[in-house]
Amino acid sequence: MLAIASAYYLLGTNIPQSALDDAVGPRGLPRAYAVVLAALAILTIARALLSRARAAASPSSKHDEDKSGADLYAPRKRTRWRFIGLALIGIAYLAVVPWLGYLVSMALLIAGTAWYQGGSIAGAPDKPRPSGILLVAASGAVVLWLLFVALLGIPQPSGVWSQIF
Amino acid sequence: MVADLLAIVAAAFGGVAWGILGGALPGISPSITMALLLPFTYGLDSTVAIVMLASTYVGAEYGGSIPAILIRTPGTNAAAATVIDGYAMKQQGRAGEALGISLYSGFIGGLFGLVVLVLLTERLSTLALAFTPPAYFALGILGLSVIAALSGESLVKGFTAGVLGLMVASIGTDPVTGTNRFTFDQPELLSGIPPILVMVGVYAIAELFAQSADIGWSSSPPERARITMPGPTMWRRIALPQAIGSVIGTIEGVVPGGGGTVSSFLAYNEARRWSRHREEFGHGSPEGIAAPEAANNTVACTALIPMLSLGIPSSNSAAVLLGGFLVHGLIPGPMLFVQHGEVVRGLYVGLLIANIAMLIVGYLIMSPCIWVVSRPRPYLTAFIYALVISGVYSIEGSLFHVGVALAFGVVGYAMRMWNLPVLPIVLGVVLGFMVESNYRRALVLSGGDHRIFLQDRISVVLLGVATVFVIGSLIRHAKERRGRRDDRGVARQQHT
Repeated sequence: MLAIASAYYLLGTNIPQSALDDAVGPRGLPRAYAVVLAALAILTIARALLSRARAAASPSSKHDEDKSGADLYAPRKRTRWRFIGLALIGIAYLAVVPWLGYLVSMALLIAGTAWYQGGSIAGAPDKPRPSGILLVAASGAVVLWLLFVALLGIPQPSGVWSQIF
Repeated sequence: MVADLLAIVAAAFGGVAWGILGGALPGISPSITMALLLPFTYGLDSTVAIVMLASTYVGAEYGGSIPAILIRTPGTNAAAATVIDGYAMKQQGRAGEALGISLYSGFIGGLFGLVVLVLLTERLSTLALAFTPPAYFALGILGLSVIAALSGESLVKGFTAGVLGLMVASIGTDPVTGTNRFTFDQPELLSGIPPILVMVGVYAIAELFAQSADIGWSSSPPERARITMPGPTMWRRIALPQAIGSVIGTIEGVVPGGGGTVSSFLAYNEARRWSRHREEFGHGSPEGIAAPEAANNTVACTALIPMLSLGIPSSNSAAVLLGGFLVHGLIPGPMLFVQHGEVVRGLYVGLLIANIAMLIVGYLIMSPCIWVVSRPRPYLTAFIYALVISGVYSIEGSLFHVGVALAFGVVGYAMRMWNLPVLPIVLGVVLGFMVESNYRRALVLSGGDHRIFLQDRISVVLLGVATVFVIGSLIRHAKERRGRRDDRGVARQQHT
């Protein structure tokens, strides 16, 4: 947060001034927000250091807190970064949709997300075949295309297909 | 006229159906269900769009009780209280009866909330014509002071999230001088970051990112249930808990930070206290379903009172509805009734239809709803992700906007990881422009003299209320911290 506040303050300083500026000006409040955020960040850091010092002063409670913390967050810690994969699938969609168009890109997004979320549990009894996932994804893309383009009349990216056909 | 009414009826039915479906999906809260729908409303008539979003809220509050009763998993936080007796009734083979009580109580609560909404909102809005820039600034500050009540365990974290929202709101063209700020030569950023992208990101996409932690193809086994509506004897029995739920829902809906979850548990507790069959609570009491369901459906209407009359959302769902207003160029608050009274009246009619629709759709949608809820999670996640991305693109046909929404999804997820509350950032984004533009306009009028904020009566009252609110929250937080410290001290003594 301190880094965000510093960067924001510096960028706020670069906002151009003009003869039309009022008493506060376009820089005024953004820089004030940055100062408040920095103050809150320092407060958060101070409180964290204080509670760590307290915990160090009382080894038994520290041990208890560490233990309970580990119990609570251990399973989550293993999977908490999986969101990056889902975000990358979204970014990949943004990268390919101008070329591949909505239908193909959306089918890939659905298939990719379903495959990613299904995990790699080999031989899991409920796990569908890749062809099954692709079929569901293709059907889903067609349904969404019908909903947006045909029913609601909202155009979606057509990609290179509009130049070919 | 007839076509308008038909469109409102269709929007109410469609919104309720979507709300029930979304509410029935565990993890998808009413605000997320609304945020998913938000991009679709962009091309609709403003009244129809607002009715659809508000109806989604109504439907989602009921939808949350379906998995709560059938699979012991509340679809929404507000349905957590319904699990206790709802699932117990299901185990006794009375699932249909429990669903019927939930549906009927939600209907009663919704109607009660609507009456309160109509009676109170219009009166609050009569202040409209007296508002000046200092008063609008003070109103914005009052809205931001809500953060103090919504900060959860840490006020510092709440304010941090609020300031981040204000920072986002200052991106784009300066409201007074027209200077570009934080636009990095990107033309898409000149008009700022639309609040809708922030909402879809921090609510809907962040929720999908959070669910990415749950992997595997397992799905909930489909449950069969047929709704049985309560008869006259049951009506009489659940009348008192419904009344308790409706009154508590009214109070909690208006109070910032209250919302459906708090009201449901309070209503459950009070219904138990006033019941003649107290021993049945926890073992399948119909009253234990009626009170919380009436309460959370009352909140779906009364939470709109501060949002419509003052432009201050008191809950996540009200904030998303506020986003719906902004998407259509409508500014909720004092002038809404003067400039767009027809939208507000259309919303009242729509909410009435939505509550009636809930009875019909709730009955009809049960089987498809159970089918959808029992699909494998990877497919559900994939389709919701596809729907969100398609919806965001539909707003202005901009892939840049999709990228911004994804970025705010990451921000929302990071906030969850660091236990930062989400609503303050939304409040900051929504109210930031109003606060800054009116603060600076007021100072232009006064020649830079800050005393102008103390010379306007409405401004003084609103700033006073905001101050009381923040100080009250500070005292409450200090007491809670002391209480937690004392508890830890006692636990430590027992340990040694």
